[in-house]
Amino acid sequence: MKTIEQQKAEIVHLFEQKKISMVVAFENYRGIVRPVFVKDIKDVEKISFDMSGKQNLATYLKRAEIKKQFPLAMVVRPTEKSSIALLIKENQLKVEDVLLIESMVSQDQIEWKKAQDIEIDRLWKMSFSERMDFWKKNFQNCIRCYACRQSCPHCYCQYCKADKNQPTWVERSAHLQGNFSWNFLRAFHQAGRCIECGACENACPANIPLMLLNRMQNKITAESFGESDPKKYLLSDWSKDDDNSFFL
Amino acid sequence: MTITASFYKITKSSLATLFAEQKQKGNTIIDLSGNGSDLSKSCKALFFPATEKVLEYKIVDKGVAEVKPDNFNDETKAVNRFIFGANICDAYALKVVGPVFGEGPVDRFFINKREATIVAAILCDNKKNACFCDQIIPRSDYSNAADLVFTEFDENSWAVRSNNNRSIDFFGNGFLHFIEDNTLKELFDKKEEKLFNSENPEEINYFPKLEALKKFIEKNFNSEIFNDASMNCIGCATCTYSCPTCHCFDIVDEKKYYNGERRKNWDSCAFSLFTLHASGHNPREYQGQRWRQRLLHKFSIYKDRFDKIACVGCGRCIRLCPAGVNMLEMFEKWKISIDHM
Amino acid sequence: MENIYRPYVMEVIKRKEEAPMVVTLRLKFKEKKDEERFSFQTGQFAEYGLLGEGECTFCLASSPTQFARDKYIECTFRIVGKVTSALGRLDVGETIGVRAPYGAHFPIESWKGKKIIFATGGIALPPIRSVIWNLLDRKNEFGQISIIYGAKTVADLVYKDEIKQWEDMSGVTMISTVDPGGETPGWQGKIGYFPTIMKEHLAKIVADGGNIDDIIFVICGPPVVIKITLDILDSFKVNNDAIFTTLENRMKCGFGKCGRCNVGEVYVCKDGPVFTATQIKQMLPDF
Repeated sequence: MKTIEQQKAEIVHLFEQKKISMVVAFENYRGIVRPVFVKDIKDVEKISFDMSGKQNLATYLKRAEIKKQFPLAMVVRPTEKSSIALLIKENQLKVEDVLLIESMVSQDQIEWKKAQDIEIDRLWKMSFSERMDFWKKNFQNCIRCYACRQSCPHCYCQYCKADKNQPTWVERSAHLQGNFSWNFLRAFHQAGRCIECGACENACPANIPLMLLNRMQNKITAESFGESDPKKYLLSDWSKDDDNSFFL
Repeated sequence: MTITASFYKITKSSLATLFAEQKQKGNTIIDLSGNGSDLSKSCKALFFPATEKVLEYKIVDKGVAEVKPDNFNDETKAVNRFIFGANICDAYALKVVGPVFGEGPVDRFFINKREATIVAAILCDNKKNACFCDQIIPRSDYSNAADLVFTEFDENSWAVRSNNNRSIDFFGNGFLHFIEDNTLKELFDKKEEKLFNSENPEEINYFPKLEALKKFIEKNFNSEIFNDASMNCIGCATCTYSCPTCHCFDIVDEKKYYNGERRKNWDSCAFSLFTLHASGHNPREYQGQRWRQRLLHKFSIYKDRFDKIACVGCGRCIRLCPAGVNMLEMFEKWKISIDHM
Repeated sequence: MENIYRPYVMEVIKRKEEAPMVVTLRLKFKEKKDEERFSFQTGQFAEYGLLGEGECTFCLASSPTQFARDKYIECTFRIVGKVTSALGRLDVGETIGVRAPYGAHFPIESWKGKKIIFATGGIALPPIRSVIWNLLDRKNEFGQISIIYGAKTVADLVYKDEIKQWEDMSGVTMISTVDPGGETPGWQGKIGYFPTIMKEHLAKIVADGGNIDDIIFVICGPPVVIKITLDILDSFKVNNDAIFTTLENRMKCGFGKCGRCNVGEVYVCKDGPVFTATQIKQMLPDF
């Protein structure tokens, strides 16, 4: 593993060689770890390598303003690397668009997942109607801000199904029915793709435990169809040997 | 206009009894003083909900439809709702955003709710993370932001400032539990001063002069600075939906066969589809342009049209932003240019 | 107390296809009391909505004088999306909800005695047509009226019948044009983009000794075309207060609350959609 000084030197070198015009990384701003976009050598100092930021930096790769800066460098954790691998697999990104500068994994993520496993077990043991009440209570608070969608790198559709009106797939209104439709739509579109980074749950201003939904979705799809990995993603790969038993 | 206030003391248990009485009568008591989320404490949703039905219809026959509600009753609404525990900033926000709905053609959905509600704020002891209310709300408005302002007198009782007579009518005989005590004015003055002067945890003590900010935005209308400043922005609506003064909305129809409703939903200038024309032309294609619009609308356009800026310094946009965008930081970054205007 | 979101219930009494994907609907109020209390001025717009589909902003394409006579209003629109498709499928006898009238109107009283030149193209003719008929119904109060109207192809010209009427009217000069390549073998009109044709027409007026200051200009089109036309009029040193246009923007409520249609500090639904060139030039480039 490189030291912080070595990594900073590597970035400065990339700028000097004009190999990149921008670095996407985290900075520590008054105690808050948040994304930073460095375009100048003098700003490389701002980059913080502690990587405990709650956002997934790969989500910026879908923005037009960022795409104009390709090729760029990104300081990544396993989280961003997994997302980038998926984006490349799904033809949203080319390998040469992003230079990866690897950094340490934050310990926080591992603890957080352990806490969630307990909660998922609790949910799994509930009866159907108890689980329905649990989600009703949570989705009541959803205000359809789409912070979950915008913070997720895998939600890159130019016109999201939730915004379409010919036809209206998902009602735009923030009533319970619309909220169920929206959250389930998103969970289904993440089945087998979600890398469980937690950016969506961290972004949600209404404190909805989205990761419980996404992780349960992943767990069930893994049990039914096998684990997804960069060589074979559930929703984007197909082979003749796939399970067809559920076709009518 | 000086508002003559009266000051009272009430025990916490008496207040609880009064609330129970009102609930018995069928009135609504909303207690925000517990551990509500930051989002729900902004009582915007209690007057302007995230989704609200404004029309319902039934197609009876070809060419014939029943549409409701036709009109609202002309009689003045009696107060039937009491919100307890709002923040001063959120109570003040109702005054800021009221004119949008109350002027021009009157939006009865908002105004009727406002007329039927008494707002009781609890004075914050201190500012919390990212609060900057003192930069925005005039000091004198701390006192009369809400119908009632509560602050703790001791463990068992509240000191109350009443800015009008609405509560007397609402509680009826129950109001006798409020013991008048005008010496409490001193306590309120002291606590308001403390809140106003308390350290701004945001540590940014700069807020631009509005005229200069307006000129700055207009002069730099097409420049890259807005794109650069809003690079972190992921284009969700968290800041606008959690803001107690943001009021942009969408009108959508939902139907099931021959019945349906028309709804008024929250909408946000941060979304890329907000200004998309049917022709495909989008005047605000990039997030930087949408950020420019947010700043211009809140701090310039709103002031020109309604005499107050559309901000109360509650800090939610900074606290809840998932991407770390901070409006005050933006202003600070541009301070030298703005001050030169 | 009114529910401001409640539309007038109206019935379609005539449907016409003006051009490919362009439909005109003629509407009458279902309730007599609505018809009696309704009035509007030329240039104002309305929110036409199908219950269950949504609402769309179009101008009131017929004139107030027409409404005073025959008690109907008309709207013309291009089918581009969900609501317009549904509106375009409406048949005679079906119901539509209309919220109207909104916005500022053309100050035609201040144009008395002047000559008027209209220059517009394609689907931007409907708002102008309301003004044209309003003026023609009071023809002796105004000077010579010239209408320069262009479309992409001959088939795309809207109000083809009315164009013929205008060609045959005295006191009216009607110049139709199509974009180069849009002409049919029998086409008798001009060929060229309408700003160019307007420029030629103006040049001719000046050459014949006409006074530009006597003329009021009314132009309408997409933002890019408006800018080009304003530049042309600038080159003739036309007074910016004598040039009127109607802007469009994405709108929803129509009465200045939903916060969507602002161009800088100007709310297109409340302060407009009618603006003078002076006002347009003072606006921030937010459209």
